[in-house]
Amino acid sequence: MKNRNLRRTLLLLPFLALLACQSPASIAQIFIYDSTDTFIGSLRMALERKLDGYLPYDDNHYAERKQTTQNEQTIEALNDSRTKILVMNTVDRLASSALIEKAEKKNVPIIFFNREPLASDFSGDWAQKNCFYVGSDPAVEGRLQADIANQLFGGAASYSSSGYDKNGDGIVDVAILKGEQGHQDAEQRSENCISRLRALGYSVNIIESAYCNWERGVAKETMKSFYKPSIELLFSNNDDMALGAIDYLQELESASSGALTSSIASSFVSSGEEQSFAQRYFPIIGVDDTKAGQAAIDAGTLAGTVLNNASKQANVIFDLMQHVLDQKAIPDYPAGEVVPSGNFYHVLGQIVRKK
Amino acid sequence: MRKPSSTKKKLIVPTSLAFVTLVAAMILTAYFLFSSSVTSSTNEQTLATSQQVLTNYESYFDSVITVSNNVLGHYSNINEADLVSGMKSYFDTIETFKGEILSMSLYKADGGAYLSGDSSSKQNNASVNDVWFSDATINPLINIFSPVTTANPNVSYTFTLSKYLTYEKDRKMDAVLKVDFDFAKIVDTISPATLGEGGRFIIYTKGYQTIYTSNTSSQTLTDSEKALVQNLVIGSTTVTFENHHFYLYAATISNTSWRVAIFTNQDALSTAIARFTLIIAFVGLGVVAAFIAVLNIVANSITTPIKRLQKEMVEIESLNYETSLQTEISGTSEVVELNRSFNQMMGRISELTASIVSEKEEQRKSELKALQNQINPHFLYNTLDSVMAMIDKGENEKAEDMIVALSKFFRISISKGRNIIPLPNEIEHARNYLLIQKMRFGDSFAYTIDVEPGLEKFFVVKLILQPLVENSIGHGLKEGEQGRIGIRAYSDGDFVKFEIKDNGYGMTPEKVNELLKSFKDDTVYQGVGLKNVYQRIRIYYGDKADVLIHSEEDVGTTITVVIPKEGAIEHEE
Repeated sequence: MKNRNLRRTLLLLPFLALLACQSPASIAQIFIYDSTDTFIGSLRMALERKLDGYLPYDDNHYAERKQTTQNEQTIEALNDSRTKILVMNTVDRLASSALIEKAEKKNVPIIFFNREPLASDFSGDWAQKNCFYVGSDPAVEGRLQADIANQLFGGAASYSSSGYDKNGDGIVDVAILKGEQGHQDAEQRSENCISRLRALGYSVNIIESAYCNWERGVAKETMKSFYKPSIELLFSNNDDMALGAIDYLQELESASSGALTSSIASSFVSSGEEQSFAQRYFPIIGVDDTKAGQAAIDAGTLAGTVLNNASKQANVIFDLMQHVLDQKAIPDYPAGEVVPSGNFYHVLGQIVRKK
Repeated sequence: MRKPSSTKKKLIVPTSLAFVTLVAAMILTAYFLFSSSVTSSTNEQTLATSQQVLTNYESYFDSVITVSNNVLGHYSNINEADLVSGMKSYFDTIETFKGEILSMSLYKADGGAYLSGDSSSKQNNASVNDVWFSDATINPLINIFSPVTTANPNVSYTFTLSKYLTYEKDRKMDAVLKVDFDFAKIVDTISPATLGEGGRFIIYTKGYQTIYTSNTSSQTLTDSEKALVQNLVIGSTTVTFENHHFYLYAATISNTSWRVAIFTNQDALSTAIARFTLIIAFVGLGVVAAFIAVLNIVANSITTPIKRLQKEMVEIESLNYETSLQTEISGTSEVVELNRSFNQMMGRISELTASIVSEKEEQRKSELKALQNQINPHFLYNTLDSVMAMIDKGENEKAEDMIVALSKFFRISISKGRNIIPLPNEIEHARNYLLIQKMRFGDSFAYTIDVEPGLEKFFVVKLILQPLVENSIGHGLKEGEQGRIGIRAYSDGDFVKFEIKDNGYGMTPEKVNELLKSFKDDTVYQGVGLKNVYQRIRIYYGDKADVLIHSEEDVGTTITVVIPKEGAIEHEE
């Protein structure tokens, strides 16, 4: 009898093993548009730190900038009965409506982040309850970028005498490195940094502007093609692209050693002091405050950046996940940090400069 | 009790069943493998084709968006003074490069007043209620793709791209760009060439408003198409409608908020699977039939020799020891071995039988000899006494005749040691005996010998008549009366009969019965001669031979010896 029981148990072992292999009953699926984006990477890690101990997650869904891929990944995740919630960083923000429509059929809520769906995408009854967006407020970030430039220049009145107005015409000759066509952050940051600068009293002339897909390497190549000494200010939609521009300038500097420096800096009043990187070339201002960005600020190559608060955004995503999954009330955020607007939650940026 | 099934049946039925099960399992496995692999490969192929179509459209729309970006770049850098004319010539330039552009025009974002446009533009103001205009002002960052607003009878499919243009220099001059594209041309060049019968390609907005459909029977999404794509939203599935099987692929087109649905006819797939199923079923049936045929041959090669053995065994049961499988039975090694053993056994059995028969024969012969030997001695003494008396009396001639008769008598008695002699010799033997007795006893009796012609060819056990004749002379003749002894040999059906008839005292029926009884009883020693004859013919001829006694008191006795003709032939002893 004992023997029989033992045998029965042994027979059951494979099934027990199968049971053991079956992962948790419910998981969160996290979708990322591109595995190389540093900011999204830090946001993902901040979110996962919060999720640990709350809900298991599968973050192995990198679309590598192809919405088709992300659509397939989403369908696969929705077909997985364990999937309880989707956390989506879409490739194409216009695909959000289709994703919501698809998720509604399985009643799986979606928290979008970084890529903002259109307001109309959330208009359905189901979406009203189950879909949220968390992102930065790109307009504010753009304005803060302009504020950093203003601090550097010491106000519109003193711009011509600040040493940054290389040709002395009183007009700021701006170059812009844009993130991505159609990305709300790219467009709004670009638009608002310029309009804010104008509002502060500056005359602005955009002499170069290009999309660099948020990427450091692309920005470096772009810089190579449109660099000219007459650029007086560079706004970059994120730190990665700003670092790409710096990469190019540093390459240029080491290639021509001191000769170039003296000619570029000829307009500066010789004071005997060693000129800063921003003075030798032009101030470069980014957004995000990534680790590499901070290092560049400390090194003096990046004039400043706007904190795109990844951990704060992760916190808000986490709060909203708890809200849709456990009906937990959404906290009242301090007015200066998070601005809710319907189902859209915008986390405000902050100026980061060298201390 | 159930009849036990034959070896062949036992061999064929379970093996065939097992094989049929195996083949059926293989057919099923092959069917599932084939249908799943062909389905998945076809689906993969169709998916890849559909995705390629999508990619083509996305790159087309990318180029469309590039137009809007270029306009945006140009607009933001143009001087306010030559905004209208500068944009007009810019639009005209673009149109010469992009043939599919029908018209390009600019409207003030604030209010929709006409700003500029290509040479052929109608210069109407935009209405803030137009979707292309309102959507662009609501979402200034994205390119708005909308179905065509103004019906153009010459162009079947058109769409409008609108985009909010920020004019940094003077935000009052922010504008909305409107570009009308001739979509049909593009569709013709990059739509999938073959979608099969009923296959179709549809582009629609996220609100399921039709932009383009290759379905010639309807300008818009039909209700059934709409239900299918609404159910799928995005992804791929297989659907059946309008009597066809389709692979349906639906996807978003990047940066447009439009979607595409591609219906690819997959009837060929089910046909291929059906054909494969048919072929494999036929092959399976063929294999099973061939297997059963081969199995039958094999079973026969095993069971036929066994059946032959079985048949021979049946003959053995009927005691036909002659049975022997003279021809070698071919078959499996076991069967050949079995056959060899059987033949050996049969050989041994017939050997044993033969030895038993010869032993019996020997026994019979010795018995026969012993019985014959009982007959002669006292007759010889008596005869020789008579001859002596005759010589004494001086009847030399008579003595001589007697000695001659005696000599003949004994020659036949001895017959070179044979037990079986020709029938005439036996008659002759009896005649010589009678001759001798008649000489000894004078003419106290008379005898007749009557042999039916044609009996000469038969052989009989010797010395069967003489003892009976001796009995007739000794017991059958009446004192003082002329005795008559008649010997008759005749054929009666399958028998040869010898009749010895006298006219003596005869016997009572009780006596006859007693006598007959004594034949079968070895312990009774009455009627030595008669019993002796009876026993000998029974030994030699078996049950068919008999001795019959017919006797009547004071009339006479008739003894009939019955011998079957089949035994009355010359026989090698």
